[in-house]
Amino acid sequence: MDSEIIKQLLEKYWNCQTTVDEERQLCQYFTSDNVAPELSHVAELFRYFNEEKSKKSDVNFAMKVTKRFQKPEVARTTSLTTIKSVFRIAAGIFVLVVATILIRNEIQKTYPKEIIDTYVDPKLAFEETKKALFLIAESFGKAKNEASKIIMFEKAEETVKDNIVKKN
Amino acid sequence: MDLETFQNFVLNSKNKLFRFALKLLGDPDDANEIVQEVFVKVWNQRDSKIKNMEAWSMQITKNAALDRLRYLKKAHNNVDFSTVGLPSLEPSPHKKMEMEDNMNYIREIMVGLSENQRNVIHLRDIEGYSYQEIGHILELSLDQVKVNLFRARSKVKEQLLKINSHGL
Repeated sequence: MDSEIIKQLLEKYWNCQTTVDEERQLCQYFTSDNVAPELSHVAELFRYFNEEKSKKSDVNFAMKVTKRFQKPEVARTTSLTTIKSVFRIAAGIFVLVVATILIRNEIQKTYPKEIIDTYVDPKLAFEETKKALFLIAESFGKAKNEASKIIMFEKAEETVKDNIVKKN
Repeated sequence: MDLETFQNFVLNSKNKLFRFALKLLGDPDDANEIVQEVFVKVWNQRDSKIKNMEAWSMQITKNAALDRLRYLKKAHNNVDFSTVGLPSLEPSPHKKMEMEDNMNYIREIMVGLSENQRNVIHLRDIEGYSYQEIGHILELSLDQVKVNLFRARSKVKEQLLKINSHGL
């Protein structure tokens, strides 16, 4: 390319009036072997740009990044394991509940039903209550008889004490 | 968007993203890591309606790299990160020998630019983005992009003319 055109382009470049394409042309010119001697000091700048442009990321970069994208699948498997452990806990609780019901049933079988159960029939319940009250009344009667014996003893004791006092 | 489409259209920009992250962080390993994180983010947002996926990815790269720099700055409070990954301005004797290389001098010129100027010149002259795209990536107005690019190129031109007239 004519060095005069390049000089004009370069002037536009310093004044920030070049397009991206014109800047590309300048870069191509200055990184070639045909740079005019009077422009050689500028060539280093474009060579620097070119060198910077050649810097590349890690060779295995794409593979590493793609691996990291697969992380959500790992998260999915962890959520699967969480579900599994929840199921395990639920199964444990279920076994405990069933065992409790079975044991309760066994206990109910070993005890007499009348102790555990209540009377649904009001007449039967009345009769049973009457029986219980009679039993209590009978016990009270016996207790009263025993208590009257104690009173008799107390009276006898007082009589003996009075006689002793009279003799003295 | 499926994985194949993602690999063909989005992962293709991996080197641009890497170079930008490298420019900001200065460390290839950190840059690779950041870009991987960016792609994971982009993959997770693959169903979002984003106009320019590449420019958006570059913007995320910039933010992620700046976050990393802030984190590193906090972790090592005494280290000056304004010139991380960039050649030192005080060259060692070995470096002085390397300075004979014009390319290194261009790097030194780039170090002398402000962060915005460096980023704008990188996105325009190395990656070939339009002003609008640069504005979107760097979250700058069109005028700010043009001003930064003009100032950056003017500084570079000035330095190159110095080399030309005085030598290194």
